[in-house]
Amino acid sequence: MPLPFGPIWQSAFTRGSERGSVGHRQRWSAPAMPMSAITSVLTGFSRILLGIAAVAACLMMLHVTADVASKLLVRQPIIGTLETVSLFYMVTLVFLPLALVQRDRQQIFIELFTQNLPPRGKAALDAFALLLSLIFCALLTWKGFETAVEKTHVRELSNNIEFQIEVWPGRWLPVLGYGATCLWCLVQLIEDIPVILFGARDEQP
Amino acid sequence: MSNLEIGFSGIGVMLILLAIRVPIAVSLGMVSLVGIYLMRGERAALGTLGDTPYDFAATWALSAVPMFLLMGTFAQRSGMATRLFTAARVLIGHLPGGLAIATNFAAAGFAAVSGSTLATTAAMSRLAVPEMLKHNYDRSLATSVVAAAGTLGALIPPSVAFVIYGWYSSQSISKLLLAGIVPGLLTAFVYCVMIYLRVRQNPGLAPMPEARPPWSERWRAIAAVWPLPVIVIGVVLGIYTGTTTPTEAGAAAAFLTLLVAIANREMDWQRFFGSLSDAARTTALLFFVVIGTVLFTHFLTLSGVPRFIASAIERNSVDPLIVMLMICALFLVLGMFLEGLGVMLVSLPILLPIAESVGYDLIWFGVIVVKFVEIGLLTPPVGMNAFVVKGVVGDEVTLGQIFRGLTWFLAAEVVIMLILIGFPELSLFLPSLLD
Repeated sequence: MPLPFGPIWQSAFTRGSERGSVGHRQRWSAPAMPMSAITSVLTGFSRILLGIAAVAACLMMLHVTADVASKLLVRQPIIGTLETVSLFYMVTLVFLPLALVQRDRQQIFIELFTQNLPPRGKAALDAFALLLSLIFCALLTWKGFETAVEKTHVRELSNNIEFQIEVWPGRWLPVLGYGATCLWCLVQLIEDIPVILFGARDEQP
Repeated sequence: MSNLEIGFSGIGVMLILLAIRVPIAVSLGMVSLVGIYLMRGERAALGTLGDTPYDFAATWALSAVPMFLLMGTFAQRSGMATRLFTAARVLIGHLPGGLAIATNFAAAGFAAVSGSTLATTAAMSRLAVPEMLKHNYDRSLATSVVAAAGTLGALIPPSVAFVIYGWYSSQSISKLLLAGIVPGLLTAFVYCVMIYLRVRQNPGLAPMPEARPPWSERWRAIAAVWPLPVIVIGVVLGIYTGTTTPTEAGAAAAFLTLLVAIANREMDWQRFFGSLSDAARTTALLFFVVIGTVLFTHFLTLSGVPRFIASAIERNSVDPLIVMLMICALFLVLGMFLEGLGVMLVSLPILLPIAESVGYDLIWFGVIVVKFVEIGLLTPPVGMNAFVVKGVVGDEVTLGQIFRGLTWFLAAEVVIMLILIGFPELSLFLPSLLD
């Protein structure tokens, strides 16, 4: 990650990301200040999203275990487990951590054919990949937003008659997750531009 | 362009995008959106985009994935790999090639609990390889056994690969999880026999068997690991008797794994939160690819490509065995540059309709697919597991030595695949008991 913005983000960024974490820092650092503010806010926000998802994972484990125990011991399931798991925990787990995954550039991709390219070549391809990711996530955010507005408007309910709760808040989670991922794609795209233009530091005379 | 042409071009463009560092999820997703737009217009392309991700995220069937992952991250972040290896070592370390066989079993056990081939390989490279080298084991053997044994985890429940395959192919996930057991054990068994025979024939490979430890030491080692096999067997029994769904079994198993780690004083708050967020991240990462696969399937179906291929196979009455050979070749090629679940999620939209048209049993086909995906981790030039071992072990062993050792395991895999393809009952017997 080309991030010359100080010790905190440096360590945070290099930790999860394998690719290009060293040697990508540039002399060109004009947009460093505003970018660093944006990335720090965005990192904080993404961490909160991941934190919520982690709590959901824990609650899901406890909730389902309690349901199993209750079924086995007193032959009485906890009503609404299925709905809570799928409409709240799952939706949280699937969408919210995505922003941090994107920040750490951990999306699954194939490195084999491009591993011997110089950093500038890699950065140019990465910029293209980021652009596509940005478009894809933007479409998902936009369409997810439309659906969320519509479901909020009608106060969407769960289908189970015995356990009818409002489930529309879950519709906003894809919007949050994909939206934040979009912002990361944009930030990373801007960060990669100097690498494409000037190459990595170790390439320069 | 006809729809069929758009479909085939889409596959080509997708492969090119994959080659130039575009994430799998985005390659699949963008090609599908553009393809559907070209065939049916904007409405069809974007119309379902608001619902699709939410709808498949909010499924009970797939909720087993985060629970299996959570069990795995708990196991990975506590010292369970060490305990398993110690136990296997004191129990069978004194046999010819005993350390290698012990590694094989410890890796199979840890892979089953942790659910991650790569994590298992990394952990066992750290634990077992130095021990084997200390005992003058042949370097190729010591490293390749670690790389190969890590692949057993995807077959033995709980297995994320089977959950995703089952959801995608609309097959019973419980049946699939049961179907993997015998092939998993068979693989472990054939590996062991292969190691044993090789060492018998050439004792120089593993010159120094360990001294047989006293029973007191063996009991201590067993006492330290017994909860893990019990949890795995509990998962299997829960699913087998129909008492629990895979999600329920996974949640309870994750909870029990956590309790075991706490009881062993191997879990603190940092590891706990680390495990939770690791599981959450991997869930998001995997499901993002799954959305891509969902869109790609929709695109291919609209284009008629799978139907076209299937009818071509039917028209020419291609032997199902030939089809299997072609599928095998495809997986070996894909496995050369793409890892694990990625191979499965990219190839299933095309392969599943073919498998259906040839009349394969889809439970059995799932076992074969998962086997192939794991074998792909061992084949040169980029067998991921060999690189993991090399990364951990360092300069002491060359990549060439690891791959040379792996040829023996790949030979064993040929035998195993022939058995699994020749005798589908081996995979299908356990799930048939569920009916």
